[in-house]
Amino acid sequence: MRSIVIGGGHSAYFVITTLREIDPKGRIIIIEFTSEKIEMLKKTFPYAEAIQQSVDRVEEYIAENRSLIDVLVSATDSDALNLRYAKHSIKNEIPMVIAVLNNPLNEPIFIKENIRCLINPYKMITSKVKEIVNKFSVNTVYEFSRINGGIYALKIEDTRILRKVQSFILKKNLPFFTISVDGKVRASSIKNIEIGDVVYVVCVDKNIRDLLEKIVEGGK
Amino acid sequence: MISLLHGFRIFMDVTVVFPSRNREKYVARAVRTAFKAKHVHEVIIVDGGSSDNTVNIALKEGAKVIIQSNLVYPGKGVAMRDGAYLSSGDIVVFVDIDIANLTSQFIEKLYMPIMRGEAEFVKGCFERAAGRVTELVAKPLLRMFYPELAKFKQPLSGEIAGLRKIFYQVEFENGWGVDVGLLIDLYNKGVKIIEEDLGFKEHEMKPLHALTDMAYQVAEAILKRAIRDRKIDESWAKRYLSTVGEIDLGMEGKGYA
Repeated sequence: MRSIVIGGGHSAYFVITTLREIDPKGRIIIIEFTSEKIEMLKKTFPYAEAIQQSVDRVEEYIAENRSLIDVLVSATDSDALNLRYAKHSIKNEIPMVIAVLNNPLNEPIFIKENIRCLINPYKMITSKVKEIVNKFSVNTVYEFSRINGGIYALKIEDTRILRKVQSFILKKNLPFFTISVDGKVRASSIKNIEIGDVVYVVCVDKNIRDLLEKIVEGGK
Repeated sequence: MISLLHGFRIFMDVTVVFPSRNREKYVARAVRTAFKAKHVHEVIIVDGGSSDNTVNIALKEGAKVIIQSNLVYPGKGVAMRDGAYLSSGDIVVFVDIDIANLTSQFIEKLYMPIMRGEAEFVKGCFERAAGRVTELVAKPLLRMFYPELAKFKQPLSGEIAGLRKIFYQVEFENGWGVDVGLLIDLYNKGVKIIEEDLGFKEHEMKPLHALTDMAYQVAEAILKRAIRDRKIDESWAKRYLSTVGEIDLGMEGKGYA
């Protein structure tokens, strides 16, 4: 696999190490703008090639090397640049284009520009705060990149929620499993769900929104 | 795209960038006015996380919108950097969104000297007296360390225009130090800079207490560069400034030592 990672900061660190883990023999090229960072990147990632490009030459580089790139990850510290490079890469038919967001509020803007493979590292903050603080909430455990769906966790706080969730799963015939308060995984039987359990369900996000509207007045 | 027309005059595409936050009252008019200016092909709103309708109105008016990458306060520099990075024009113009008397001529005045080949970077100035931070902080410090820039009437003016490529050669300060930082750094790069009188600007004045952070960040931006450019001895500055309190001189890992 031949990958290009644009940016040499915090997000890029995790992208590069993960790409290396996925394909230890793959070629990774890191594009960075400043010479100081290039030296640091060469030391930190000796298995990758770190090259310096000015901000407005990156697009040219992508176009010239388009046939050699399997994956392009734009992980700079500017969402404006990530948007620009991701759009350009899609236009140049790079097989897989990923953008890592700095500001989660930019997600709809990127989706509108047809950048579907988005990594939003801050999403977990929202779901974790809800899980810890809220009485009832749906937490996104995993979101599929190409469809609007995922694996969602629902905590069964009381009888009313239990009935709603049971009826929701039955009606939609959704795959699920439960984890009890003491951490045991229960068999996927509707009747086995108890108050205090966390139910993990796989479905599209519209289903989850419908369920929330039924449980929480006005949705959440 | 740069194209040669009649005579020697070069016409270039222009991008206008408005940093904004909760400015639904101004955004529609600002975007429409910018699009009316000659050669403007793109208007960008860099939003600082508005909770009002600024973003939706901007999109409806045909502007490109991006939320600034880092929601720090004050994030003016972050917004300007994102605006420069997203723009595609040969010239990028930055204008405050809440200028009550904004006109397309006002915007044109900013970039016309670049089109005429008289400058690569234009700093706007106004008829009114310069602000308090300008007179009491920026000008004295510039006179001390960068006397060649002391001639600028309003070195902190946020109304600027420049060739897009020059903004890619410098680092943007995150906050209020961005304007004076750009002025010093572009001057150091040998960029041709002029100050253009834009006439009268009708703009809200900040209350005095709101100027403390601004004054601090402007001073920090100038002093940091004075150390970098070896106009102040670094060890002396660090020793002296340590008595002032925590100040990030941005010297770590920058190879300035």
